Amino acid sequence: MKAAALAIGEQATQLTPYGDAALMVTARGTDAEARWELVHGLAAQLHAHGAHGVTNLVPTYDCLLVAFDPGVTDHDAVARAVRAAVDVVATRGAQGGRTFELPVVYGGDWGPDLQRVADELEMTAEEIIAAHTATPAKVRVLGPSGGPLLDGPPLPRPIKRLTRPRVGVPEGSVALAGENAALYPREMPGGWRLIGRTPLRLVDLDADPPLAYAPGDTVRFVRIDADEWARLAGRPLRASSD
Amino acid sequence: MLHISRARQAFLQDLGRPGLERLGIAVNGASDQYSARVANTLVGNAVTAPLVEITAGELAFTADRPVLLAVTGAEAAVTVAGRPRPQWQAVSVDAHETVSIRDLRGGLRSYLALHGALDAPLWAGSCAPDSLLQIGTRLEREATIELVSDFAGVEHPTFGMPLFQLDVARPAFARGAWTIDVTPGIHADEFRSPMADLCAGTYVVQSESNHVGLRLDGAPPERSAATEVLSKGVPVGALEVPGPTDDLILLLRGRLVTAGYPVIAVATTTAQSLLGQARPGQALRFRERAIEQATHAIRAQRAYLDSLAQRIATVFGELGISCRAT
Repeated sequence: MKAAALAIGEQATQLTPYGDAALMVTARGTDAEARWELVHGLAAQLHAHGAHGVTNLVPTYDCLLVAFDPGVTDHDAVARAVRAAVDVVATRGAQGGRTFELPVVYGGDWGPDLQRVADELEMTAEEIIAAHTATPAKVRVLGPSGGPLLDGPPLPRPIKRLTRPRVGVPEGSVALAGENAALYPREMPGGWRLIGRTPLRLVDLDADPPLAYAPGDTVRFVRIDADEWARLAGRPLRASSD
Repeated sequence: MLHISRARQAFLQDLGRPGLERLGIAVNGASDQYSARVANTLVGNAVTAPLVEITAGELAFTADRPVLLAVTGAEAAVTVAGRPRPQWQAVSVDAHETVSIRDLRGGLRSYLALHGALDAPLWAGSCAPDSLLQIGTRLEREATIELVSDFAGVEHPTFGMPLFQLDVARPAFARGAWTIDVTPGIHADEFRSPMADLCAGTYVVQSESNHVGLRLDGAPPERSAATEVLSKGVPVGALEVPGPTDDLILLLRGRLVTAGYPVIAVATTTAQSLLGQARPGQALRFRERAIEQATHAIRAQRAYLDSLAQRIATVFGELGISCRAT
């Protein structure tokens, strides 16, 4: 945590009631990295120490949604707990990140949008793959079903979403949109552009926690051939370093 | 042991799986939380106990021992050994009598609670289905499910009468448009006159609706600013306006936990139970509420449920039935 980049306490965050059962915490400041660190640090702090009546925490890029049971607590009490946590988090050091290696089959049926993305950027598919595998990507947000949103590879322009989202993006798909990357741990609808697919299982319901990775961890994409798929299919993702 | 003889769209359910949305895993749980809470309370269970949610479907079963049950939620034809039985009441059923719940109307979902503990497979402490994670227990014809209960049946003073009568507050599934209370959303100021526009319109639930969200056909309020919204957490009940020509989307308990569309309003916690009963074709009208009013409403509802649990505990005590409702 870059404590110097943050105003401490109330100035660092804006708290907004969000319906009768949630509070939205928005990080202030000009440094996107510091805002992201603050909301994730806050979520970790509130999760570790609990707050009466808080039922769920959803940290994203610069916001933290704090959901609570309005039958047992209220916005004022939750706001007090959040402000107390902000003071702790703002003075804490950086969180360590682990690295995961993710094997990916690029293009073809595995990544049906790869060639079109390359065409749009006036690049070759090989150049997109090279950029994607050369740049370790930081996990920023855990999206639906634990699907991580990551920093995207360095490309000349943001990548457009599909105008008609797919009804079923296959499990394990590796996707790009805007300046971000994403993984789909389960089949679900989605409008991101699919460039490849991993044979590894990203969510393991028999494990605790069910996700091996967390915001702050880094994913290194490793290109594999399609004939390696069967050997790796269904294996759980594990950290390659701590 | 329950032996299921007929089942369509019936799942084991509970109040949900809180605490995992930081991992992207939605809370889920009974779409009509009020009806689910009442059902368990009426049979002396904790409100969090597993029960059965029937969504525009049906269920028939027998038990090899006496059971005490309650059916709440959508109106349904409830029979025991072919005789009609009331909803929103505890009903005593003898061993081997067929219980049938069918012909749901008014609302979309009925809830069946049984005194004791249904042997529901749990994940992360809950049996709530999660369609994205592909977990949950659908009740199938000819399946059996274990029920641990010390309910031994009661002697009916008058044959066919309910065990006891309690006047229970039940939702009114009105003909015509339902009134849905909302508070302003965090992007309300991006609309020209958000609450006035929203509350003036009538919105109709489309067929592509489910426990994840309702698609609503109706005039989208006019946006005055069109800033791109970064993906953020969205609360259950959030009403999204994706675009000037698109359906509105009202997010329910199975929603994707992050979204990037502007949220104009949020349905109150009490209104969410009613939304969980909205069928395709149902018309909705929105009514603005201050957060204090919404909080007051859910507090009053919880206080009512607590008082109901107290009354049940007293009655069960007199009848010698075990009770975990309080």
